[in-house]
Amino acid sequence: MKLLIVDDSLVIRNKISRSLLSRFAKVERAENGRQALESAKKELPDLITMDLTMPEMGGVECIRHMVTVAPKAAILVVSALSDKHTAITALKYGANGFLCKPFTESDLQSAIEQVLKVAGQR
Amino acid sequence: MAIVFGWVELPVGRGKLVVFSKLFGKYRFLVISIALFIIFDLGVLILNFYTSGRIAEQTELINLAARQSTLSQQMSKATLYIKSQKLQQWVYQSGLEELRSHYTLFGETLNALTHGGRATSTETGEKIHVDPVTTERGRFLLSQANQLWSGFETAISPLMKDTLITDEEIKPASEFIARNNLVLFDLMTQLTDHFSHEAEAQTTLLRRAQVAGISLATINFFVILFHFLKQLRTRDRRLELKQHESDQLLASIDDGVCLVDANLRIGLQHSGRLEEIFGTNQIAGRKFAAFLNRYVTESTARSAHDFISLYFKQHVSPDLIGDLNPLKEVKAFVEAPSGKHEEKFLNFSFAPLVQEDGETVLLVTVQDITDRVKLRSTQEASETKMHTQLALFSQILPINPDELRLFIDQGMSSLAKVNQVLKSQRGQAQSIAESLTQIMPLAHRVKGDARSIGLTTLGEQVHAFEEDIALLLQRAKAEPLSGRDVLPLTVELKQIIENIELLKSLCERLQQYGIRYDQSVTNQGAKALAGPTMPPAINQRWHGLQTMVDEIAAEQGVAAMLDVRGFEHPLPRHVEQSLYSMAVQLVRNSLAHGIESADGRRANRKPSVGRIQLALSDDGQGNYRFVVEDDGRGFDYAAIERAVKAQHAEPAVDRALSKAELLKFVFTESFSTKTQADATAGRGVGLPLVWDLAKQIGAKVQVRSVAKEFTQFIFLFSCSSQVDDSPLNAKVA
Repeated sequence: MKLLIVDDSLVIRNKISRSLLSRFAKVERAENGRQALESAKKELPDLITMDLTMPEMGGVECIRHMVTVAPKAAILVVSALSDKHTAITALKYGANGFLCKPFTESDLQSAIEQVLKVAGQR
Repeated sequence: MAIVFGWVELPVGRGKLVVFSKLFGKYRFLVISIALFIIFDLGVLILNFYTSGRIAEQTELINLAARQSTLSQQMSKATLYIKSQKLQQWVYQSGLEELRSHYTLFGETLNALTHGGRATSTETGEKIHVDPVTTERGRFLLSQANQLWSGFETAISPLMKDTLITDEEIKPASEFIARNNLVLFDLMTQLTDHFSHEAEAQTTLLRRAQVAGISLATINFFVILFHFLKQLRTRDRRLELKQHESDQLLASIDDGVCLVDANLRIGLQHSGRLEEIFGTNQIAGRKFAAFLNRYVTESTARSAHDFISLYFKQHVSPDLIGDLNPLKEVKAFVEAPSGKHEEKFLNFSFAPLVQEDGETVLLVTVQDITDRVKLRSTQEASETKMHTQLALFSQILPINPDELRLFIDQGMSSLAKVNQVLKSQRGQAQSIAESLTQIMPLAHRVKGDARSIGLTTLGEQVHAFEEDIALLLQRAKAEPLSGRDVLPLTVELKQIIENIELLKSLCERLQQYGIRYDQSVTNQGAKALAGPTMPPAINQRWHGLQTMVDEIAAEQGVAAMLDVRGFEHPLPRHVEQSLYSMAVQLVRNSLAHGIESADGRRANRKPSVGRIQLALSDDGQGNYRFVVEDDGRGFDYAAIERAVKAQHAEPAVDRALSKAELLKFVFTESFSTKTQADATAGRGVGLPLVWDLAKQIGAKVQVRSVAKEFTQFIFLFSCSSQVDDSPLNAKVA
């Protein structure tokens, strides 16, 4: 399985990567939506963790395109609760679940189980 | 896979099996009844078809037998005719041909009836197949007829030759026919009657079968009818019982409960508590978001609509969206029976339920948590109040009592105006926005004055109040405001006024206890470069500004020293207070916009610590000159022009603007070159406030500024001068 971590924060990218390294054969990282789309075109990831507020291209815009670029990928939005409406919009556009920052490793593992499950049922 | 359907085993797939067993299980009785109905009808139809065929055959037999009777008579008649013609030596050929024809037809028919075979139809004259007669009576009559017919054959056969018939041949034939003709006729008549009886029996059987079939079908129909009526009655009773039980259950639930379907419409049943919470019984069948819109803000209702629609999207995990619920501890305004709007705090929670038919519905639970939230906020408010009181107490100790009293009087007066403006707004969107614009500078002045004498806690409280006004003004640009939006401001204002009253009472109490705390004051203003002849009280008041300069300079990452000159002669109180407030705003502006960072100043070959000068002088005739000057970066007219053009789309500003025009914007409008407001500056309220204060004391304003060098504000006024509405006599350097 392949994982794509999309977040402009190096700390968050490292945290997610450390937590999920054992579970995924390949882990790709992107700092914004544009990089994420380029990476997804090449790698076709199984799971994408997506921040919402990023430079160049934000998470909502990226998800809108991602559902056609990697339609089988499960998408977990990982963001702060500062703008609930943006997160709701991201879910409307095709994200499968939401995980609030800050999060623990077990929160992340459990959220990933859930999104992989619903994405598998599509 | 196979399923036993009654007694028939049907091979079916897994899906079909489920459907079949479902249908067969639930509607077993109906399926069997309909099958029986069809079987009865089909049985009657087949019997009808078969018997009709038999009756048709029987009719043909009746006709054949009747023709045999006639033929026997006609053969006798033909024989007698031949005999009489022969006696008179006449031609008898036609009689002979008739006899031959009748003889052949009779023989053929009798043979067909006896052994089966071909016979000539009585109706069409064509050859038809006839089955041998099998009934006992029929066989008996035919056997008698055949015995007799063999005699007829013996007697008539000599007449069948082609040669001439002799008298010896005709006589025995005529005698035999005359003797036996009636017997043969009688036998054939009996055969006809027998066939008629047989046909009648068939008809009776058919009629009985039809009656039986229809009767069974009718009985079956009534059995189905009664069965279903019974089932309906049972089901109705169960439904009534269920309805009663669910009504009792819904009435006893402490929370508001209802279901919302995939069209986001509220279900027909809900708990009684839901009606109590929203004060209405018009809930069932309404669109959830439209219903909610009456109680919460439009944006919350819209978010709620988008949020709950996620529960019906297959790609979204319902367990991972709870954090986004916009209706968690939501503030709602519910109309009380008295007609007044009551503020409530509600907590909505959602749980998707999958029904038997596979459809998802959302179980919505609404809790009224007003008491809990109010208790919590009362506790928080009480804690905040306690901390504020402690902070205020510690902050007033170093303040000169005269300065504090001056601030209290001035502050109370400004806040009373704010209160009056808020009360007088008529609840219309435009009136609200105007009121907010009106109170903004008043609040700004109180904030500046509070911070200038070291009342930082109160300053922060007024800053929060100012922030909320700014947010509402921002919203007013996007959507019309209602009176409800202003309510939180009145609560905040009340708290600020309470705190100033508390200051007053603390001040009075301290004086009551004889604590001359003002004597011990050696505030940081001592650092200020005070004029040697300045009277002590005024000296201290203006010195106090250095404390504010230090605090704001630290916040802005700069360093500045305050230079206070003049103030030898006391001024009228209102004039002195206005000058002080103007100085506060201009000093804040200098620190936010003028004084550069230490590095920036060194780059411009200036001392690393900035200098702000406040100077008051007079000509002895009552004409005063008040100067506020800093050695900062000066006005950035290019940035001001960019900001003016960004905020004004009208053609009036679509050209190069003069410095005087730009200054007019800066002094008269909510305008700032800062992109982000902070506690010090950025709202564009400070300079319009200075403008208003200058207007109040009838001062003329002059502005001089040189880029990278200095900015100077000069206020020329006379203590006896009248208030002038247009004080700007801007001289721009």
